[in-house]
Amino acid sequence: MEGFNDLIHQQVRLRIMAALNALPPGAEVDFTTLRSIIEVTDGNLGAHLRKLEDAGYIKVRKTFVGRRPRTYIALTPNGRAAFEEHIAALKTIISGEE
Amino acid sequence: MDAQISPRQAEEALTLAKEAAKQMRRALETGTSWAYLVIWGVIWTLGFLGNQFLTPKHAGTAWMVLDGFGILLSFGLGVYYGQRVRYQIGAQMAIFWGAWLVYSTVVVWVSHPINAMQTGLLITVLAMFAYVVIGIWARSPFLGWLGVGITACTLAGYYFTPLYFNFVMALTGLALAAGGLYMRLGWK
Repeated sequence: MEGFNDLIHQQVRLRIMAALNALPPGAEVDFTTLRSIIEVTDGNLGAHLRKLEDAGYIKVRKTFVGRRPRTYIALTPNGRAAFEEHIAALKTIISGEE
Repeated sequence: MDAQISPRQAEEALTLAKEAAKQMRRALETGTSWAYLVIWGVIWTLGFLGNQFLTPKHAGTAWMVLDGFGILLSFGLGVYYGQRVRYQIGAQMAIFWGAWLVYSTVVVWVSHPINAMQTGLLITVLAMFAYVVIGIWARSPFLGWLGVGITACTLAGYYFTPLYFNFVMALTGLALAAGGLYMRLGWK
């Protein structure tokens, strides 16, 4: 199936990608906000984010706000394209076309 | 890649994705809007009750203190929320409210309302126009319709029940705060 993406299809990663895809282009969200939407532990979210980052689908930016470390996550153009292709592939499977 | 999933599994995955996207959109839409509505709704209610029960001089002072408090709190919230989600519209929103403040001051100064009731009417209509614009801009029908509804109540209060205008406005302030609480608690 063209466009189907095993890396993205994993449940937590699929939700991460869908949530990030809903951000306006160029926007980034902080780790805490994303965690509250995905509802997983810090460690679990961190592990999935690393896999997506390694694939070039997301960009992780670490910074400091005052003295507090903060992590921002955004979808890359590649990630957006891969996610949209994956969603299109899912729709094709549902409609029964190959 | 080879998809080894059934149409049913694909449908479940699609539902999960849609739900996550919906939650993110809701988080963006709600943001701190709910808190602004509560803060300004309460300030509005207290201010208009002040118009009703205090002398004009004391009511004016009360408005200045309440507005100053509201502006400081709103600024703090904007800074806090800006650390959670960074996107262009957030900065544009701050610029929009800055421009709104300047233009509203000019409009009130030029139109020179003759009493506190007309001043209240003018500022309320201007504020609700801003909510309607933001509702359209941020694709939030709730904020837009809240603005339209409160404008209608304000005009009705001014023209049909002028004697109770301050009470009507205090109630619309409560409606604003209730709208904020509804956004926060009802949108899960």
